[in-house]
Amino acid sequence: MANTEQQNATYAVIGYVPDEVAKSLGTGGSGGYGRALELRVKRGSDQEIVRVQPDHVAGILQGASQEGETGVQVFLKENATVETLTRGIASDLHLQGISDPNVWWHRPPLVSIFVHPQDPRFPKFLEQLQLKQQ
Amino acid sequence: MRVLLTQPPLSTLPEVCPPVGLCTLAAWLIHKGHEVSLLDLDLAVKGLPSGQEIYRDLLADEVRRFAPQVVGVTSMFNNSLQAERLIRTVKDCDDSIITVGGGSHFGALTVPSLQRIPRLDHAIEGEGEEAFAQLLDAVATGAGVADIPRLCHRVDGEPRQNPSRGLMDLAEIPPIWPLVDGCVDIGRYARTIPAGAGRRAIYIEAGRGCPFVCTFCATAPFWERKYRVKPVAALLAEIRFLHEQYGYDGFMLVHDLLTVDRDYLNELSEAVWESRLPVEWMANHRTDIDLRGLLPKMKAAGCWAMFFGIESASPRLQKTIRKGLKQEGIVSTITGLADLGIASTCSFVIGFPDETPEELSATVALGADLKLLGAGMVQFHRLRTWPPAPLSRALLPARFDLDSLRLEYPFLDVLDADAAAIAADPEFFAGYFAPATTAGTFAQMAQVEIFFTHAVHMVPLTVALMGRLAGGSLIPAFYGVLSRLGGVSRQEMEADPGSPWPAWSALRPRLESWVALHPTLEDWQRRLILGAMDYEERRLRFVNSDGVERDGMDAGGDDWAAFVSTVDIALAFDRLRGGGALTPDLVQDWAVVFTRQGHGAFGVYTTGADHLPELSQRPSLMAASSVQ
Repeated sequence: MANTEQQNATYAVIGYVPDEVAKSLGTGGSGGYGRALELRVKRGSDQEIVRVQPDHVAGILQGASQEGETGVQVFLKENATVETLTRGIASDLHLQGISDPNVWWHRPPLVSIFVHPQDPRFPKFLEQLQLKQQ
Repeated sequence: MRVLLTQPPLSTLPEVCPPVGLCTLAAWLIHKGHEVSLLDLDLAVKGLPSGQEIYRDLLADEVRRFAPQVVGVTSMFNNSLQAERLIRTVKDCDDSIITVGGGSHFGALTVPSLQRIPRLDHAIEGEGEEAFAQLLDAVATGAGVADIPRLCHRVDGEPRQNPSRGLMDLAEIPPIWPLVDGCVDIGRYARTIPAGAGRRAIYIEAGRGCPFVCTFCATAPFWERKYRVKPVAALLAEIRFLHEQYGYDGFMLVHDLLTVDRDYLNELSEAVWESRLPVEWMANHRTDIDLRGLLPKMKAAGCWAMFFGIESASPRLQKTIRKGLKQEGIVSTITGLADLGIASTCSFVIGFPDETPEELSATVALGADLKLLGAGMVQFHRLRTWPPAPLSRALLPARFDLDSLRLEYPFLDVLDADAAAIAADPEFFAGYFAPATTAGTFAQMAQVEIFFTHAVHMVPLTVALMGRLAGGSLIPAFYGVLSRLGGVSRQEMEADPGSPWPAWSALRPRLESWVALHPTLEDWQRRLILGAMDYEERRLRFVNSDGVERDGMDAGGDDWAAFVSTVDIALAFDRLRGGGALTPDLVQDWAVVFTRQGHGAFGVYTTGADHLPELSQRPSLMAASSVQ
């Protein structure tokens, strides 16, 4: 089994974008996408959206397309900020969400991804991301 | 050789997946040059009103049509009585046909199978592919069978078990689905999935073998505890074929414990991701296997769920059953998965021989806690032991369990003759005999299993509060309720899969009785539990209604409804999740607001009770707002 302590880490957000947005993104870099990137956290639902500014994007990997949406991993530069938008109660009503998993579950959009140092697919990409040793 | 492989009816569920083990054997035999027909009687009887009467006729028809030289019958523990009858049917059609038994029941009890079933010629212990192929070669050439590994055969009428010569390399098995596409009607299986199902799911084999040594587990010793996996390329080829040809998009990867090898999971995740196939998958996992860092990649590659055997909250039992999980790891793993949006199913085993009611109380409470932490499903299962589980050799005192038989039998009606036949052979049908336990009587344990599986699913906050406040007396107090009100019935619990109300109407009076009868709860503690129960009942009503349910609510609008709860629900969730103390300040009025947010999504919020009049000015509460 791989040793977690010897692995590199980067941060990414995982989500879904419309196919037409995915086509304009390209793979590996920010793809010249000039606007803020908005990812749906859950496939098929705009309930929760993650927004990343284009100059905070270090690279993008694209996954499968299903029903007009493409899965993407957006790798972030150091100190990138991520904004989460939730469709929900108007903020001026001063309501506090109850984290009842039987109704909904808010999950953090930012995840830490470890990459094995001997992984042949990622070294060049990791260099671009100026990875920190874990 | 002409080989007919068959599976008896297996379940009453309308949705059917191809039998993975039998399809793998079929592919292997086709790969070896044999002509194979596969008759899955579980699929064949679906939709037929008289399946229990005609499954043998369906096999007889196929035997006459295909004229096999050898018939292989697989059996699980719940359908081996039917498998036994199928063997008789084959011989009645043509006594010269060679019959071979395998699968998780016959394959674990080869000698008893030959002793019990005179017309069964051979049984194969454990992994069947190599032995079956060698048996066919021996039949074709007239060679003896004494050297065929794993084969159990008769010598002078007495069963003789040949030794094993190791396990096969799974890389030798070609991608099975393209190979069996001719003899298995995969499209017919796919058509059993309801239109509009969220996921078109199928079981496929990723590998075999778990290296752990849990005493109650039959599967790990069946595969001799050797961890093996199919090559990622082969597995992906199967996924691609089933997706592109039959539209499957959810793959339940069959493996005792796939996540043992982190590098394999990494490779699999990357392969699925790179394939661009719009598919998802799930696998078995343990909470003490560290997948930190890899989980996001798995999620991105379509991992939608993980299954866990948690078994018990008791550190003592974790040790004696040789599971060895620690509670901190259980909690952090389930929380971590929920944070990533990966669902989890947590399974517990209850009724170990020396388990105490206090330990059982802790286990039920842990199940409710995990549900609050984001576990998608929590299940409680009474201990039953099947060979070759180490515990099955302990010959524990046990009692025939008709309730389990009814639950797992392949047909809705358990014929009296069938029940009698099974009850008369406790050694062969050990899986239908529940061991005695110090945790409760036979009837009490059956009630704990069914009652708390449903209660944790429907009202986890209530059960978690009961567990936290009552501690070790959770289950003894429940036994007091049973003696007053009697138990719930499976018919009540499963009367309407589309509605919670039949089950809830059986659960609620017993939960209320538990609160009323508990000998040591303080008044505020009773009010806390009842307030939580009231909240959860209203939540059930709101999310199960077609529109915005306002009956019994204090305020509402086009997309919302609110009531004044006697409990600070938000704080109760936070205290339970964070391990904070439950104190009387939780019992105070707070408004709870349910919202319907479209796409089947709901929200729930809290605010001061005096805020409701202001809210009532708003027909709609929905708007976009930034939360981070």
